[in-house]
Amino acid sequence: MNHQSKAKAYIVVFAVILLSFTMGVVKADIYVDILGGDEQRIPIVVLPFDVQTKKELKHKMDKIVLNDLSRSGLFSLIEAPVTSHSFSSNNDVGYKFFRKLGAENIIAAQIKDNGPNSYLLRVSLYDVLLKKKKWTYSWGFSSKQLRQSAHQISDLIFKEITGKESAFSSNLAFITVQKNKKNRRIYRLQIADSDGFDAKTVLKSTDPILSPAWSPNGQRLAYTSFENGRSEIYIHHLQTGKRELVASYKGINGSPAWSPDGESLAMTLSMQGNSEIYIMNLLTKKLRRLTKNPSIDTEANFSHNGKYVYFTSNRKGKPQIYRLNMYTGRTEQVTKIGEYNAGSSISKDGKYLALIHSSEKKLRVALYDIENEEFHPITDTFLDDSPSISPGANMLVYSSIDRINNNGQLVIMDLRARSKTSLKISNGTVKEPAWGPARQITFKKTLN
Amino acid sequence: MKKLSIFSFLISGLFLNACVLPPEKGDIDADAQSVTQQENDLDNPLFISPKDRKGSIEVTALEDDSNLVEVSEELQDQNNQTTPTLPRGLQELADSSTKQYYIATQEELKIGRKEEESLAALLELGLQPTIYFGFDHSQLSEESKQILLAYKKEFFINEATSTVAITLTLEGHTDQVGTTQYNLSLGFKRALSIKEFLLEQGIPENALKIESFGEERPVFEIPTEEYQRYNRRVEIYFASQRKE
Repeated sequence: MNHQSKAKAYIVVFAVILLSFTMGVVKADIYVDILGGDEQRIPIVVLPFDVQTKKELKHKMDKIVLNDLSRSGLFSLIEAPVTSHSFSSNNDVGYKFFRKLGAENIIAAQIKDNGPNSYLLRVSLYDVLLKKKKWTYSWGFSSKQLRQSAHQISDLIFKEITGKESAFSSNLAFITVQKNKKNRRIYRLQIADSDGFDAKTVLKSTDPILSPAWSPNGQRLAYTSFENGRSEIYIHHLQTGKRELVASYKGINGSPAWSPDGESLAMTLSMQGNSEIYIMNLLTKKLRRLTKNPSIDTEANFSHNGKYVYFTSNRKGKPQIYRLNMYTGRTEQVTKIGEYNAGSSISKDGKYLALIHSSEKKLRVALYDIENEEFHPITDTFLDDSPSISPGANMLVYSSIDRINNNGQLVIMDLRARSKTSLKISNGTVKEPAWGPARQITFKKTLN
Repeated sequence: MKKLSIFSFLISGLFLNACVLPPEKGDIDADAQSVTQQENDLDNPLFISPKDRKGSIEVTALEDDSNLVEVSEELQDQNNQTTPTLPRGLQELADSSTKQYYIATQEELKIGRKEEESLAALLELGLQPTIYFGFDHSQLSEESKQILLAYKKEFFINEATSTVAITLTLEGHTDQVGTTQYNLSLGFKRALSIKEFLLEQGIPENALKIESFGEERPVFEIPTEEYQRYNRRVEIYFASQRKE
């Protein structure tokens, strides 16, 4: 069994795309607002990639791109009855043929050998209406970066055509819990592609691992580990596996959240007796206390401009979201209605929170419009937890309980298409997802 | 002298408990481990302390090619069934009386927690002293306060000089409803309210330690209220101060 099929066997990813997910009470305009426009679905043909290498590629890159674009809900994918193709000149394209199929855009890509274990990729977009090639991107990648490069193609297409950022090439971090023969829980901190495939374990423990949080550059994860019998916060350098214990104060050490510059970490500590939010300068390890009252304060997360720290507090009896203005030091209550509002994740534009909200006696993920103070419940799943908004704010990941076996699963939701993909593992629970930052690539762009 | 004899009873009860009871598969890791711990380490046989838990940790760097997830056969062997498991002690009582698994009602869960029953008796039965809470609550009920008061006299060797026989670790837990991180704080707050109550009763602060596991060590993993209410709890663990 090779590594890949092992991984496949273990992470049984059920890509259940429920395209016609009924939204119930949700108004559609919130999605439009997040995406900034109500575009029609864009008709596009993605030609089977022209693979000019004798080595067998581990993944079908064109299939990954098709899957990404399809999940985004912004494209109407048109099948063209052609074999793999790349055009040598504009005259080659046969625009009439594609126009008849209803396509407005054609994606053609070519993969060539570029030394041992590395490839060269060229992706071009042809505009069917203008009958011309709009651009070509090219970059090299190694055999290990096949899936990543495919997701990057999806991000490029998405951005070039819609003008919006997407998050196909970003990663998810999450925790899996399975029981061994001795009925002991085994916790794993894993990282996977945004479609849930290619999961890799970065930490395995017999004690709980909680709340992974990505550093802004995506190179480090902060999390809580109970490996010493109590909660402590570690920072884990993903490339080297090097770990640093940053918080091991008396009481709980939990809920780490990075500042947008990556230089500080907000966290929940209870060394004074009660859960309070502190911020640690990672260079000096100096702590500054941000909250002070006799109730629970936790789940800090920064707005992307660093102006606010959003957090959960039950200072008025029930958990609600508050925010602290980091410039003025003023704290204000953000959510005011509902028995339970917690676990907030803020959108990049600062307009919405994804949070756990009690509605009709159920705890569900809702989007909260901060300015208009409106809740928009968006899920119909069970025991929802840990919502996390993607960098492009077009996707959301959260955890819920699968009622068939009472195991935890992840649900990846496209906020616009209203489609849901669930990620499960065999005989265990997946939980606490965190959506990583967008990845940067270096490429060469040529126009026409 | 009388206090001491109660204390020795407490110890002997646990010795007995540790030696007689077979290791069992519990739903709670702490239970399974504590039995092993007591069997293997007779120098330190006394009480279950969360510190005694021995875990293992493995780290993988992403640049290492071996980091791909591998199928572990022991994991594959598992079936999907979740057998309802009662807290240790209660499970034994349940097994001995009915010879089958069953779900205790709230009344039955109070077995061994009556005011007149001592901690020693409770521990001899293998029951973990446990205080339960309402959803999203951390306040002690009047009933819980009575239970703690009944235990109180056994904490002291000499109440007048605040000399305690044991130290306590109060371990807070929550149900699986709500967010993981809020629940970590809620579990702590529950343990804290017991600590505050015991401090009011004259138990010295250095005899009390509090921790929270949030929702990570549930008694039941079945996500309905009839099971989840048993997860909202503080477990009381003991460690002898005479050890050193």
